[in-house]
Amino acid sequence: MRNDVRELRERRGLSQAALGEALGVSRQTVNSIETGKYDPSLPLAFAIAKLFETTIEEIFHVD
Amino acid sequence: MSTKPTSLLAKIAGLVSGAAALTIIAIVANAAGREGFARGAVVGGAITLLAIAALWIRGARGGTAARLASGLADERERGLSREAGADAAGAMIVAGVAGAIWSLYDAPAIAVAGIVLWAGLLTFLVSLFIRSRRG
Repeated sequence: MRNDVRELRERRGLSQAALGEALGVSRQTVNSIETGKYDPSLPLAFAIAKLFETTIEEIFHVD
Repeated sequence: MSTKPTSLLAKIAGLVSGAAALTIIAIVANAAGREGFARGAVVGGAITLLAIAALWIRGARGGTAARLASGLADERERGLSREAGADAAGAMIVAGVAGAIWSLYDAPAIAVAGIVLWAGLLTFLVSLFIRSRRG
């Protein structure tokens, strides 16, 4: 699954660590999500969407 | 998204109960005349307790293992731990079957048990390390 997390994060000037802290996950997990190595759970996907004030469908895309 | 951090009281209780378990194992082994086993249990157990304490001190600043030990792991890290546990269980089954076959040739029970335990422990650690590196 592709996602726009890195783009959204950089647009807001957030570091991976800062985003991880805001979401309650580690910096490594943010990196894994951004590189597509890890697909977040539904609750985490909702938290990411809420933080970026958008919807899950706008962030995550099926290949 | 992360687990509840382990409280200081729970950490102290964990270390004390670990030390108590070690002491009991050493006393029982000594009483059974297995001084070497008792020494090994004390040394191995002490190293394990020290490693756990070191991971607790590193806490959130540490890697996956430190966050798991401190109760600070997130969903991905808990998933990695579950997968490493499944790998360890598989390795222990294989080691158990191998040990059962070895026991047909009069293998000492303590050696078979040791192989099964070490297979599980080492597989868990190696699997967790590789999986956390892969992301």
